[in-house]
Amino acid sequence: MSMQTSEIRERHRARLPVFRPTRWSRTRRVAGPRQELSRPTRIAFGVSGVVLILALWQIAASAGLLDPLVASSPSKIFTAARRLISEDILGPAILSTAKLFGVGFGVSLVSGLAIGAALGWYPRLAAVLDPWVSILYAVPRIALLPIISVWVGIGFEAQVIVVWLVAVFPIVINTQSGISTVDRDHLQVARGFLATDWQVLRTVAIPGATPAIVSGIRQGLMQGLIGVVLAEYFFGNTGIGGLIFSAGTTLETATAFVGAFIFAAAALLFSVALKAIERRLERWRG
Amino acid sequence: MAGMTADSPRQVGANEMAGDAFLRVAHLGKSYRRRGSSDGTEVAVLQDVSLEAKAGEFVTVIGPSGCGKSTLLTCIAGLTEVGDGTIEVDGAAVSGPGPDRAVVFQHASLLPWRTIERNVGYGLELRRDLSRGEIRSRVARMLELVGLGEFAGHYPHEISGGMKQRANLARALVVEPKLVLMDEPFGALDAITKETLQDELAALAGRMRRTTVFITHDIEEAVFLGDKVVVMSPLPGRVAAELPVPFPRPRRREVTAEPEFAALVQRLRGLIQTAIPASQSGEER
Ligand SMILES: Nc1ncnc2c1ncn2[C@@H]1O[C@H](COP(=O)(O)OP(=O)(O)OP(=O)(O)O)[C@@H](O)[C@H]1O
Ligand SMILES: [Mg+2]
Repeated sequence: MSMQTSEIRERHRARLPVFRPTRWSRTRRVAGPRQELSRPTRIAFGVSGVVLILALWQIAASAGLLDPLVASSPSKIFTAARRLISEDILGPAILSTAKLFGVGFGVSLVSGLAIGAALGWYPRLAAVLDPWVSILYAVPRIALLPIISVWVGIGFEAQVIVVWLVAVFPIVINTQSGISTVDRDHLQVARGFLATDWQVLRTVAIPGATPAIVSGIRQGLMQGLIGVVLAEYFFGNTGIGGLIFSAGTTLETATAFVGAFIFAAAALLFSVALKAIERRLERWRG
Repeated sequence: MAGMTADSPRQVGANEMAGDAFLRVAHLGKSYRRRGSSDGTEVAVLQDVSLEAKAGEFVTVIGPSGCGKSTLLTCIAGLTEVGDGTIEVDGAAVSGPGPDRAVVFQHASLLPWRTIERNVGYGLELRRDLSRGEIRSRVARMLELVGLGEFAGHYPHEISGGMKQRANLARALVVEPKLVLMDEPFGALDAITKETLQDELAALAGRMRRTTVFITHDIEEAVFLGDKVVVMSPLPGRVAAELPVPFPRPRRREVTAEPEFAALVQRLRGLIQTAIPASQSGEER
């Protein structure tokens, strides 16, 4: 880190109003005016909601109120799932999708954190690259798929690039904004103790940016799931995404729903896991 | 200031300054670019500020809100570049922050993701010349000294404002600076907590004998804690007067009841009122 300390100071002068209260120490987050539910109660309510909708769906389908071709029904979906398992289709499809997601999101996470941190820390770099990030983020990335296939074909590599293109931006943008908005008071404390730029990054900027980074990762995960489906639809028809797509073309609605439910379950799982991580990382927020 | 007469306290000029000062601020000037101005107009915040502190002396600086007290302090700390003039600590010119100085900021500014113990040890940790164990034991001793021993493992949001300021104080003192710079550390506290902390600081300062510059806008606090009180005028900040406080240190709360104490407070109040033009007095930021 070769940035001059005077440069850091300038940057923070420029970005932060002088009498801004610190983000964390002087604002306490409290529950809203309404009573807060305990965790078990919340979960119970959530689960009952799902069960209720499934039951209504089943009843409506059995009573012939819904077109079976369009709406299918929970029992048909369950049967389809069992068939997919017994025919040894579902397991490999999940594995293939998990592998794509794992590699694609892993690459996005590592590169997103690195790029975001670099952009947040070096204002000159950000000045050069910000327009590119904005442009790439604004372009509907589906429009880039044909170009990708021209470059690298339609194999696994191309799929990973699609996932990366979708998942990396929220991570970059949130990390950048978290790192670049260091609390002015904290910076002054660190500088008063002769902190090096590297120490400021490690002890002030990164911990202060944690909430922003975690929220970037959350968005990245969800975008990554979308990216996986996109990649599987467009390149090779593999995995769960491919399963949904081919089921759709042959009007096997129940099979398509099995795939959709698997993505929904994955999204829910990530969300819960991330909440747990968040709680651990931000114990200090109280 | 035009109202200064022969019997008013001595005006400080650099030529008057003796050679035994530990801290010497001479003809300090500082201005800031006016916000939103493109033509470079500047606001003078400090103008020809001179003051000094002998080794072990406790100097309190008092002045109205916005007169540049914090600016003066951060200049001495080396956190703000000075415009004109010089600052010397122990004979060496100040050109940036140094291990010989530590600041107790106006806002506690504890790092919210660190426990109190790790906040207090922050300065020692950054120096990287002490072992973990040494840092822990020094921090533990300091926490006892400021009465936070039981709260070592708490996060800042879990302790009161008064405790945060104790931690802020401890974080500065634990690095054993030769010069302690305090910026209204008790300014935001309720009267009772404030008095307790003043008493503790008076005892602590008496014991440690560290050269201290303490900024406040509370006249009684300035007299209770200081060996001398420096009065600053409103923007642009200048030294309007300097008064010695005759009571020996360490002091106990009882001195505040002495008539001499009250007289000094009264005198300072008068000086501050002369320093502030009538139209401006009582005005807060
Ligand atoms: N970084 C800055 N840029 C521009 N102006 C500044 C900056 N810091 C302080 N000022 C201005 O300088 C003046 C003095 O500020 P300073 O904080 O030193 O006052 P103070 O005496 O400490 O006030 P208070 O008693 O309210 O803490 C104010 O008018 C303030 O607006
Ligand atoms: Mg101030």
